[in-house]
Amino acid sequence: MSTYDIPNLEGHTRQRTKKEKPFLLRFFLCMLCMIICFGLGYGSFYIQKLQAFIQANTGQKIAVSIKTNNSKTSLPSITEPTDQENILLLGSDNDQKFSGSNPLTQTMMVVHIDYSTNQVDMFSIPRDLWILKPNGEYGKIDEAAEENGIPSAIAVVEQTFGINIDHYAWVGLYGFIKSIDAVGGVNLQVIHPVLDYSYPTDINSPNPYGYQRLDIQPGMQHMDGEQALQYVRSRHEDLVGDFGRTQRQRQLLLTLKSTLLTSPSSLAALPDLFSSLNGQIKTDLTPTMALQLGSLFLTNKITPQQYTLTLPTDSQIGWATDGQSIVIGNATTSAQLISNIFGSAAGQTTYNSLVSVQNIATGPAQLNQ
Amino acid sequence: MKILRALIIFAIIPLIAGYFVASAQGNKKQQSDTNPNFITNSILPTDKITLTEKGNIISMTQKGVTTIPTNHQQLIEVSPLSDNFIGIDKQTNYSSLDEFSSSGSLIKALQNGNTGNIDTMNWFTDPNVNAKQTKIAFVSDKDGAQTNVLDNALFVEDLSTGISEKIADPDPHSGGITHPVWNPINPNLITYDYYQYDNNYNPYSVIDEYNIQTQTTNSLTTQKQNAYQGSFSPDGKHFIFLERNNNITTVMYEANVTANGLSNIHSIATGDFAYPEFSNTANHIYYLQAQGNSGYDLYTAAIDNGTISNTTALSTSEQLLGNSEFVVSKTPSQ
Repeated sequence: MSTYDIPNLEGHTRQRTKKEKPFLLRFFLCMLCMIICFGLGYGSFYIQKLQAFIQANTGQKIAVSIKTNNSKTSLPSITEPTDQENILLLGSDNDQKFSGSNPLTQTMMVVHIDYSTNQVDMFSIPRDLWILKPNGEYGKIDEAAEENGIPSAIAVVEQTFGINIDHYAWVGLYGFIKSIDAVGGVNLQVIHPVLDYSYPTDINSPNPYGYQRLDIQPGMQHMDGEQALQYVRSRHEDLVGDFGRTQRQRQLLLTLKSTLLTSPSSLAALPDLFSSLNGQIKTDLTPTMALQLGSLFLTNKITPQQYTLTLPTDSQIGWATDGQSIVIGNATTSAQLISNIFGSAAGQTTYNSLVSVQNIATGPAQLNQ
Repeated sequence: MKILRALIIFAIIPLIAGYFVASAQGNKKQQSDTNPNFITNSILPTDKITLTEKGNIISMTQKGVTTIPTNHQQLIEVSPLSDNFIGIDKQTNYSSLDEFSSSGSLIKALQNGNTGNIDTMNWFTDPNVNAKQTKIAFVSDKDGAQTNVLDNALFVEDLSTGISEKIADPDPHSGGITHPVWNPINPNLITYDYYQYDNNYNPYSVIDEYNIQTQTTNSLTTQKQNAYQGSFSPDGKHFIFLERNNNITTVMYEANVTANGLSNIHSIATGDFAYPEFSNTANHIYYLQAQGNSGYDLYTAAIDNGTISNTTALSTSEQLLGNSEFVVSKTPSQ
């Protein structure tokens, strides 16, 4: 090889290297662009379905008179600092037991979202919590919606805990069943034997007051929507009654989260879910907010610890003088919990609300300890 | 022009493709209601596996599958009793402990939970026949007077006389007893899962060992371990069980059995498991596992010094529900 060839070869090599860099960069950018656009197209399908679903289920609006200082209808940007929202989640019996659309709310959870930190806190309200209702009478908090539906339930929560409820979402029994079935069921860890000798048979039954016996053995197992509903709804033979049920409900939420994250096929079922839920959910959430909530739920912004907040009570179960099984909230610890989440003013209101019930000497909240 | 072409190729087409892929996936039905396919060549020659699925009694050996149809679509658990089978027929409000012939016809009800009155009906579940096939342990919410108690208690029935007796009764509102298992070496010992609540009303389970002769109870696991669904190796020297893991998944453990309880307890796998059982050679295990969000499949794996390997699926389609125990017995030639 002559000395003449070497510089030429080196020069050629250098020239090729210079040309390859922009080509690789362009190739990489093109691939990145294709992947992002594919993802956008993929996601837009589900967003479109979700928007149609939410818009189809926002018919019921909260009465303006209930809202005192908050009438937001859309959610500000998720990046807006110090913005906070409270959402009341309600679950109830089949409507056919009750007049109109005013059922007992068997499940009440308040979700507090701080968009500045993406922090989500969630606490459950015992359905048998004994409270002073807006009409001046004493009663269980689950009866609140009997008067004027969801607006009444919101009013009671706002009055008792001194918080503003910005949005609500209600799901009925059939909505729950269809949701679980739409994602292919759920693999649940049954954490203790569930025996119930008077579980309501108000699903696909002409008699909404009928009952059946229930036996769910512990351990991992696959459940369809109706079986999962039985697991999270049963309470009659649970040692801790509604507390045990609340614990199972939170467990199901976490399991569903795990399921959706680890089983992409479950996400593919979302369109079926959306179409099957029309009429089974009532909410005033905007599509944007629903998407943001879904994002917070599926990313690790909500931790198990944040699900474990349950309003503490003085005594697990007592009885009102009319024979009702009731729960009396522990004013001090409840106020502390509410204060930590919603601020000291809400904590003080909570304390006053629960103390006023406890201080009744001869009222209907007298406990049979 | 070049920019427009690049835009179409690298942006618009992928965008449309993504939408249609999502649409195709979204409109696809989730899962078909198929029967599980069993693959038996990885079952050890010593082992016969019996389970029930959709009213059929299914027996599997390395040589193949035998399916015995019954007229009891709600049959949820089954175990062999000589040439016959013992099964749990679970109806809406009660269940029965039934004996079926080798052809799947009902011979008799050992225990019938149907009293004709929904307020006095009973559940029977978790049948387990002892090594000599003379006694059967089960749990039920009935007491001796056929009135309801709140929690499942442990019963043993003498198969020759048909007389059953309650031998362990949990504390009221404890959560109850499940999953009785006869000790393969000592006929007086039965282990079972005992569900209780801690001071904060969180449920937990321990595996207790009950001595029928001395009427004493010994806990094999601690409250912290949250153990359940334990099972012995045929020689009684090893024990395998599950632990609840954050109430979502499970951890599988193996331990050595000593005169003082369990020793050398070590985890061997984490996942969505149910009902681990040893093979008759004790060097393999069988168990149910879910890999996704559908049902369960039956698996086998080799186990050696606390390590499992050669995991093999014995069924496909994820059609088993996970709440139905299977039984590993010896093949007739063994």
